[in-house]
Order: sequence, then C-alpha cells, then structure tokens
Amino acid sequence: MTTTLPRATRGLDIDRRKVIVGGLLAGSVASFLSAIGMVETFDERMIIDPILSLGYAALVWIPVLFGYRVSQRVALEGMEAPRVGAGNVLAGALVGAIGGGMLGLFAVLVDAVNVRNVLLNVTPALVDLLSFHQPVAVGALLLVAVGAALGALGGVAHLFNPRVKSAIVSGVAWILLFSFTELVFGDIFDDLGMLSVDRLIYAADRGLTLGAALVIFGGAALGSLRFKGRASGAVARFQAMPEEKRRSRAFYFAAAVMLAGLLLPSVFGSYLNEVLATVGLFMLMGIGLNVVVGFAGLLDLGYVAFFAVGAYTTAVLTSPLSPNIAPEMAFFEALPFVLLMAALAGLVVGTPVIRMRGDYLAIVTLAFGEIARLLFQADWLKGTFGGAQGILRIGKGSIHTYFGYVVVASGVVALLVGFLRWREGRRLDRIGGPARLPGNSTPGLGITIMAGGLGAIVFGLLFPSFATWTVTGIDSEAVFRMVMVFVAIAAFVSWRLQDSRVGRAWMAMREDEQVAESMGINVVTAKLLAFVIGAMLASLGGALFAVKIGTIFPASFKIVQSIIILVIVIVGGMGSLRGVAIGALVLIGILGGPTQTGLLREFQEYKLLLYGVILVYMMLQRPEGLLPSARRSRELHQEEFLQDAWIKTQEGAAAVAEVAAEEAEEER
Amino acid sequence: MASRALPKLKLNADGPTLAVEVFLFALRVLLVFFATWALVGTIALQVDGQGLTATAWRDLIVGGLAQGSMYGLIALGYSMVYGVLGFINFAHGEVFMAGSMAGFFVADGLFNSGMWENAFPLAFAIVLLTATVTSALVAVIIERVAYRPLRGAPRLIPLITSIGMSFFVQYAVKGLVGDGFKNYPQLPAGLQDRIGLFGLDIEVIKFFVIVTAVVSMFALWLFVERSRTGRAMRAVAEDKEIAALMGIDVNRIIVTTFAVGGAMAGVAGVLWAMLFRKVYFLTGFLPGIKAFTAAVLGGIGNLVGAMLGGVTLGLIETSGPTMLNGLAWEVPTVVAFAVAALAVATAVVGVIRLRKSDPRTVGSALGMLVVGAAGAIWGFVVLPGAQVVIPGTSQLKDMIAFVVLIGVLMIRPIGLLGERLAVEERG
Amino acid sequence: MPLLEISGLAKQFGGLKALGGVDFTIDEGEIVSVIGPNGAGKTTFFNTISGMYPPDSGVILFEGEDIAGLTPDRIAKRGISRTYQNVRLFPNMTVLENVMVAQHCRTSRGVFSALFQTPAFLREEEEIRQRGKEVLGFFGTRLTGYRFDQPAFVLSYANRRRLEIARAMAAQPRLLLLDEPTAGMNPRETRELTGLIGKLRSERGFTVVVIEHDMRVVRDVSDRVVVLDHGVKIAEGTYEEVSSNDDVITAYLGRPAGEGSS
Repeated sequence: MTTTLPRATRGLDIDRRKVIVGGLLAGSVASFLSAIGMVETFDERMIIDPILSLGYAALVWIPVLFGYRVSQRVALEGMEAPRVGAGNVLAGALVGAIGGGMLGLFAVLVDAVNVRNVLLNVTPALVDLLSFHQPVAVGALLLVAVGAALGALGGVAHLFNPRVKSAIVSGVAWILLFSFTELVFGDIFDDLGMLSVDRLIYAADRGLTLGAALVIFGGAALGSLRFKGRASGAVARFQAMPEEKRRSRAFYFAAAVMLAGLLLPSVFGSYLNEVLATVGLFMLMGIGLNVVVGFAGLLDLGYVAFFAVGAYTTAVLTSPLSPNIAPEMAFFEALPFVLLMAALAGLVVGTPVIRMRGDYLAIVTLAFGEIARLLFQADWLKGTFGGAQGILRIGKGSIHTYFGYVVVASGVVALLVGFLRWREGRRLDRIGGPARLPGNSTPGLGITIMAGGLGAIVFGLLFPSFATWTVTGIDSEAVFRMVMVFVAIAAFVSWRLQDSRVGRAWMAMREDEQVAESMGINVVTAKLLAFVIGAMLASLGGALFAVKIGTIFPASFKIVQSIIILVIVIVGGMGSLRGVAIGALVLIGILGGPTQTGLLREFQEYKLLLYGVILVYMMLQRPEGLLPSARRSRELHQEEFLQDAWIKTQEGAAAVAEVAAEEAEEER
Repeated sequence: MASRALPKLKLNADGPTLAVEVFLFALRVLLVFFATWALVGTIALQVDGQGLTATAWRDLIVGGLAQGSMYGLIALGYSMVYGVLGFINFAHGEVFMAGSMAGFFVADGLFNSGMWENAFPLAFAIVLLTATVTSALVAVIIERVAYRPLRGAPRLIPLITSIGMSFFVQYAVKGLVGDGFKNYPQLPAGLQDRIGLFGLDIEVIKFFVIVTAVVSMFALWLFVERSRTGRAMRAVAEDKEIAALMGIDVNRIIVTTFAVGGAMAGVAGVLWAMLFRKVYFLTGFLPGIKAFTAAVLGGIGNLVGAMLGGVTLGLIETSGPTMLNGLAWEVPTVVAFAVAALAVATAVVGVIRLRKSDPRTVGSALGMLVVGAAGAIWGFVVLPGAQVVIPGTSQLKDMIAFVVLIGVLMIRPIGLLGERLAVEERG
Repeated sequence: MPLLEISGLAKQFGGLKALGGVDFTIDEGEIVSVIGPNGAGKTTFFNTISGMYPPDSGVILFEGEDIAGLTPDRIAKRGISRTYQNVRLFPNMTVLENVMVAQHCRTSRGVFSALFQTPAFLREEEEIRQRGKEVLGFFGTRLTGYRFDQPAFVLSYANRRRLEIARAMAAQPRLLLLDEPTAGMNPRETRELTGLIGKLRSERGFTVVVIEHDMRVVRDVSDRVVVLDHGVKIAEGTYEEVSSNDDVITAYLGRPAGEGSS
C-alpha cells in the first residue's frame, strides 16, 4: 500500500466523489434554470437559426463548464504534474451524463406529477423542450447522451493548448455578441440601406444564419490566434509606459471615445441610442458612486436618494404641474439648483454617518434612500412632490438657445487657462533644470489651448445654433448625446480628482481611516466632500432621467437602483474609471437597468436574479473587479512571486507570523 | 473690555469639523424634541378628549406587541450572525420570506384537503415545521455557498455578498413560484374571534402570535444559555481561534447559528402570514430591515436585546402614526416659554463650558450654545400656538422605523442593552 | 521651554487603568526612549499624544500650547507624527503616494484647482513629489527608483517599517514618535536602523521619542530613558542609571514572592 504512486499521476483514475458532486451540482443548476422558466422564455430567441436557441444555450454551458472544472487537475507542488488524457475526457463525460440524467429525471418527474400549483413555470411546453420534442423517456435518455457529449467536450478542452482554448472561447463570444446585437445591426443596416447584408447574416429576426455563425466563429478564432499576443502586448506596453505618458494616452483615448459618442448616434438608430442612453445614465451614476465607494471607501447603499433629489428638483423647477413651487424654468436654468440641492442632500446624509463604522454606514445610507422615496411619495408633501402620482410634463432640456453661448464661454475660459499655462511655461523655461517635467506647462501647450479657445469663440459666434437639440424622451439620439456630455464631465471630474491631494486623502482614508487621520487628513471634510461630489454626479443623472422620461414617480427610485449601480462599480473594479465604463456597458447594455431593457429583452424577468448572482460571484472570485485600476492589476502579479519568495525565507516567515500575532492582538 | 476678559478660545478641530459637531448635536436635540412633542401632544390631545378611544389604543398596543415579537424573532438571526461572524447578513429577510412562502404551499394543500379546518393545531404544526425547516435550510445553504469562502475577509465583503444573495433569493423565488401574492387560507373560526384575557378583550390571533413568538424565543434563549452547543456558540462569538483550540468545531457552530437563526425567521414567517395572510417574493425586504433595526436598537449581538428591540420597535411603529398626529396639538404659551427657558439654560451652559476653554468639550459646548440660542428664539417667537398637521401619517409608518434606526445609531450606537451575544456569565 | 511637556496624563479603558498620571518632558533635539514590559501603557501613551483618543485628564503642552483633546489631524498639523507598532501603511497606495499623502496637512490645494490643474496645483504636486522622493532617499536606495511606483504591500517587512518612518518624516513634524521601529528586523537591519535614528536628529533635526524593546538599540540611541509600568513612570534617567534601577529590574523580572500585592 505504501508504495503506490500518488493517485493523481495514474492514468485513468478519476476522483469519484468530485465527479458525482460535480454532476449533481450541474444537474441542480440545470433543473433550477429550467424550473424558473429561463429555458422556456429564452427559447423564443434564436442564436443560430435552426440549431441553437438562447434557451438551449442557457443549459449547454453547464455540462461544458462543470465537465471542464471537475476534470481539471491540480498540479501539486513537489509532485509530478498529472498527465492530461483520456481520464479528463471520461471525467468530463461522466459529469455531463450525471447532470443530464438529473435534468432528465426532473423532466420525467414533472411530467408525471403536476407541480404547476407550486412551480409556476414548469409547464408541459418546458418538458417538451427539455425532451427535444420527443416522448419524455426518450428525451431523458437524449439528455444523458447530450450531457455526456458536452461534458466530454469540457474535458477535452484540457488537451488543447491555451491559445487554442482562448481562440475557441473568443469564437463563441463573438457569435453571442453578433447574435445579441441583431436588432442593433438590423437598425444600422436599415439606415444604410444594406438590407441584403442583414439578410445574409441574420435569418429574418431569428438569430444568425448557420453560415454566418461559422464564418464569425472562424474569423474570431483565427483573429484570436493571430492577434492575441499583440493585444496583450499592446496592453503591456501601455502599462509599462511612464505614468505621465500613460495618463495622456488614456486621456486621448477617452476623448476619442467621447467624440465618437457625439458623432455616432446619427448612425445608430433609435433602438441602440435608447439602450446606450440608459447605459450612459448608469455610467454617470456609476462614476459618481465610484467616487464614494471606490475612492473614499464609503459603502453608500442609498445612492438612489441623490438620483431622486436630482430628478425631483428638476421636475419641480421645470414642470408646470407641481402646485407649490412651479417656476417653470428651462432645464439648464434648473441645473445649478439641482446641483445645489444635491450637495445639500449629500451633507445631510453624510454628516450623521461620519463616525459610523462601515457596515452601519451602509445600512444607514440605505435607510436614507428609503426615507427619501417615502417622503416623495407621502401625501404630506404632495403639494410639492406630487405624492404617488408623481410629477408630469417635465420641461424639455433644450440646448439650442444656450449652446452657442456655452461654446463661446468655454472658449473664453480656454483662452484664459491657455494664457496662464503659457506664462507658467515661460517661467519654468527660465528656471529650467529639474523643475522641467512632463506634466508641467510649456509655452507651446499654452498657445495650443489658447488657439483652441479662439477657435471655439469664432465657432460659437458663427454658428450659435450649431446644436439645436431639444432633448425629450422621444428623441433618443439627442438624449444619448446629452448623456454622453454629462458622462464626459463626470469622468473628467473623477479622473482629475483621483490623482490629486483630495484623491490621495480619500484613498488613504479608505485604506486605514485612523492612520489617515493621524497623518493629518481631516476625515470629516474628506468624507463629506466624497458624499457631496457623489451626490452631485448622481443628481445630474437624476436630472437627465427626469428629462428623458418626462414624468417621474416615486416608484422609480427604489433601492434596487442603488444596488444595480453598486454592481456596476464592483464588477468593473472599485476605484477604476474604465472598469465602471465597461461594467455599465456590459451589464446595462446587455441586461438592462431596473426597468429599462437592454439588448436582451428576454432577460427582463431574470436580470435582478443575475445581478444578485454576479454580485455574489464577484465577491467570491474577483473582489477587485474585472478591470481594476491599471496600477493595481500591474502589481498584483509582482506581489505574488516577490512576496512568496520572501515568505519562504525563514526571516520572512518569522515576520509574517509576528505580524499575524500582532494583528490578532490588535483586533482584541 | 469684555473681549479682553474672555480667554482665547481653543478649538480642538477646524471649522468644518466643528460645524459638523454642532449640526449633529442639533440633529439629536431635534430628534428628541420632536419625539417629546409628539408624545406630550398625544397625551394632551387624549386628555382633551380628541385622541383615540381606549379600545383603539389597546388594539394598537396589542398589534404593536404582535408585530414587535415577530421583528424580535427575525432580529435574533441578525444578532446571532453578527455576534458570531461580525457582519450584517442582509439576506436574512429573504430567509424569513422563504419560510413564509414554503408555509403557504403546505397550508394551501392542507386547506384543500380539509385538514386546515378540521384539525387546525396539527395543520399549524405541520406548516410551522415546514417553514422552520425551509428557512433553516435556506440560511445554511446561503452560508455554505456565499459566506464560508469569505471567512476572515473585511466585513464589508460579506455584507455586499449578502446583498447579492438577497437579490438572488428574491428573484429565484419569483422565478419559481411567480410574482403574485399568495394568500394564506382563511383562519379557522376560533382564531378570528376576540377573547377576554386579563380583563382585556383582544384578537385571538394576535394573542396566538405573541404566545408562539415568546415560546420560540424562550426556547432559543434556553438553547443558547443552557445547552452545550449554545455555550460553544458563545465561545465562538468571543474568539474563533481560541474556541477552535479548545476543540470546538467552529464551522459546525457557525452552521448551527445560521440554522437556528433561520428557524426563528421561519417561525416569524408563518406568524406573519397568519396575521397578514399574504406573502410574495418581496415580503422579506421591509421586515428584514426593520428587524435589523430592532437588533441594533436592542444592541446587536445581544439576544435579549434583539427581543426587547423588536417589541420596542413594534410598539413605536404601530403607535407612531398616531403619535405624529400628536404634533397637531397646539403648544400652549406656557409650555413654549418653558422650552425657551430650557433653551436659554442650555445656551448658558454652553457659554460656561466654552469659557472653561477645554478643547475636549468645545464641540458640544458650541453645539449647546448654537442650539440653545436658536431654540430660545424659536421657543419664544414661533412655538406658542404652533402645531404641525401631517396628513396621511399612516404612510409614514415605514419611515418611522428608518428614523429610529438612524436615531439609535446617532445617539446610542451600542443599543439599549449593549453589544454582545449573551448576557449572563460575563465579567 | 521644552518641546513637549506632559503632566498628569491619565487614560482609563473601562476598568483598566492604562495611564495613571504620567509626567514627561522632552527638549528640542533630544532622543528619548520609552521602555517597559508588555502592557505597561507605552502605546497608549503614544496614542493619547497623537490624539487617537483624548486623555481623561492631564495636560499635553506642545510648543507651549495644550494639545490634549485635539483631533489627530490637528495634532499632526502642529508637528507631531508617528509610526505604529504593527506597521500601518496604506498598502494599496504606491510607496511614493504613501509619502505624498503624508504631506496633506502641509498642502492646501482643493477640488477646484485639481479639476483645472492650475499652475499652483501642478507646482504643489511637483513639490510634494520631490520632497517625497527626497525623504525616501534617507534610506539609501531601498525605497527609491522602481520602488516609487510599487504598492506598499509588495515591500518586505523591513522596508515597510522604513517606509512608515519615511511617511512620518514626510509630514515635516518637529516631534517624531517611533513605536518599536526595529521590531521584527534582523540584527543587521536593526544596527542600520539604530544609526538612522541618530541621523534623524543629526541630519534632519527631528526630536524623537522611541518605544523600544531591544536594549542595545535603547542604549545606542537615547539621551534619556523613561520606564513605564502599569501606566506609571517608575524611572527616568540615562541608560546606565535606569538599567541599574531596582524598580525597573523588578518590573521586568517580577517581584520576589510575598512582596507584590496585585
């Protein structure tokens, strides 16, 4: 007995317990997704015309993933790395078979016993679907077979080298992407008068054609094989750049995106504009919440309150239908008051929680969020806020009268700033030497800015009605443009603050409040500032929301909103601007906001479920988010080996033990 | 002359920090002031004969006790988890809802078979058992899936996870059983009546709810205080490492904690459904937050505190709207002047403290000065004859609970009885 | 006038008397060690001076003004900064950011100037960056160069201790409180740091109070040694005087049987 090799190295030996548990888990997940009606609802939507619906897709991934994970072999240190081979495939197949069998059993059971009284979504149609439109017994056997095949596929994946694996993954991802964006491309092709192209790719609103799917898969996979290294190389090069250069690149990139955001809506068609406007709205609030949660480390669960304050202030000031106060301002006249009210609200919410510890702060802000909604809803203040009926006929956000002036005014500001930069640059040139650093002003920079300002003034005077957008909910193009402008402002504000004295103070406070305080940071003002800035950004979102919808009700301002914004921030990576941007784009774009639909309308029913799952998954697996700020992701890897190498030394181990002991003592 | 006599004022912090302190002081005073006004006003209106009838008050109080004992039951779960693991299990409200929901299906089945009417005690026991087992199971599964991997993480991480879990459970239930209200079957005739008890005539069902809740709480208290597992639980709450060194299986104890807390929520779920007779997938949210408020109110981590906090919150909540109507009492001039005089006294104390020039008290002294001065002016000028008429106070019921939460955390964050898991055998 | 003059400093936690009326003075340019057995109240002593919690009673005169009860940020601004027994850096901030953030109370640019990156803002940023680098240079090349942009958590234990001292220095205090600066360091590192503590005074002009367990370090750096036990000062004097003091020996080694009461 003692002479046997370690189990992991033997050929076909399979960890039975792992396989059974994995299979049962896969089966449970599959049965659960079926029972909540996901499979049936999603079946309406085709991904690849005759062969794969979204409903089946919702199940297909399960055996593949579980098969892959279960058959994965952990290479233990000091042991021979386990050989990959038939064992993996077999394990995967078994997992898939057990999972499929369990789903089959589920189908047979619900077919035999009527459980619709309890499980509303377990319909005969579902059983029919699960058994591939065959008699249920045959279907169950088919499920076992299909499950085994897919599980084996998951196991086989271990045989491929990583490049091939990632090529396959990217192929699948691109198919999904193209299929999800069917309506979008339909709109665009329509606009461009290229219906024939549309027909070629999509089978008349029923997903991709088989041919198109194959072409996309092939193209994406080949592209991945060809360019994978380059893309990551470019990222690495970018990250290796010196801080200053990286920042300026990032700035130009962001500017390009913004410019595209201003120009592209005319091409996009109303559907995509609508979706993107929602994305932008949540991006704006995500950026704001990121200041509070990501920068300053204050978990604000009642962020929706500030959104509501923005929306209601706008509504009260612009709508003729709020009896007590109805100055009927124009949108842009109301905006300063919106910001002011938001700042006040930020102070009111921020002050009581200053000395509370993190988790109490979270719950108390949540309470404030609910209080805000209840007040807006109450009969008590009905005269001002309209009670449960809300406020109708909110003024349009029209820019045509202002935009020319805005351009001229910003031109004047640019002239001034440029002049100051020019003077500063001259001064630095005179001093010369070490004071001359990349971030500093140069006379050239000053002149460039001044030229830009001059240009803006001329432009503004020549074309005062350059942009005659009247922003209402109907004109999604204009709404989207305006949202983009606000997002740009918010992103700019948080980007500039992040690397400033204020931003560093927030960061320090997030890391260790006590130490920050004894290093001379006034945590009271720092916290209030975070709340106020976060509140102002959210109120911009609220103002836009009010104008976009034209009518607001208290029911639009539930805690769900706060949580969804929080999910965006966490998925993207707390403290990371591009993380928030990507998080909003992916989550809101695909799944949709609390009431707004995203690209996948079928998800409407299930998106809050998914948001919950995503939140839990992120916290368990990647608490730092998908795109943590560049600096952190860069150095997380260094830490892994430097730190480990150090701990392996005796001295390191001793120190670690000591630190741990001290921390334990501290905690007590 | 006068300015030279004053010693140089020493401030312990900069302007904004002091302003914040003054603001917080004012906020606390306002909270207490309005609460007192509401209370005194309610009593005064009562004496005037404008208040509620004695029966109405009795119903309010009995209702409050019933509601509060259910909050207390749910709060136990928050408190125990907080005591043992140190984080807020946001998904606990959903555990409560799951029990209530499971209870519904069994109750409905029993109703259809006639047992609900014919053998209600047995039927109720079955429903109760189903609900407690379901809730305990859900709680344990949540712990296993979402919290166990996070042992030792900073406490905001499990909090965020539990928010995610809460959403997941809500919408999973919605997906499984639909989003409509599930109406519990009609209670059998005996429970719908009122009975005379201790010379009071109260609704049987509420009495029933209170008794069941009290019995469950007592059982839990016995379990935590007297059983081996309960002792181990307290040891784990005190120090996980040391408990482990002493041979306690910490994971098992934590699972037990979740199971027991879940079971209590399950009992509350059935009682809730008995009283309000309907349940749907969002039923857990508000009672969850309110029960958390109750736990904080009593002192989180403290079991007796949770029960006490629950009952207190229940009473405040049911009588709150009526109390708010008490603000409509016109404040007599005498009372207003008394308030103003008190304010003047406060301001004077503030000045004296400021003159002592001890930087440690400068914040509260400034607060007393500012609030006292403002209060004096207000008391003399505005308050005589003042009244606040709030229409639709019953809509503000939920808000009262939230205000209580904020108020407790601002005025006495450790709660009524202080924070700890068990009351006895400490020192 | 002494730089720091403390009299009757007392602090109690529940029933535990952490400090029971401590008197203490330090002159400009002195290095004083505070020693004492575990639980003697040394760290509480630092915590009350730096304002982490206000003392129950007593006067703390810093440059002639009472700072007892001030908030920690105010005290830091007046010129006292400290390190911690169990190294408390801002782990996810870079080395350079750690020393830049410490200059918070010496700078003043707010939101507006950060948004528009006014010349004054850029100048201030540059200044604190340069000063930060200069302070990090105090420890040779250990914290410079590529280390500037590494997050603090990747540093070795000894480097973390050094960075913490650098961070305290960057706040430009007049008085530095070092809480067990050599704890967890190996003998070579300890020797090096001992020399640096001396240089803190000779080259940088700081006045230093240091809590230390390593008696060789205490002997080498301090002008004067103060011994605390059970929250009370039991001895004070040069290293030689203190090390031969009976009370001190009793405190460290325990009282002979039958003599002690509690």
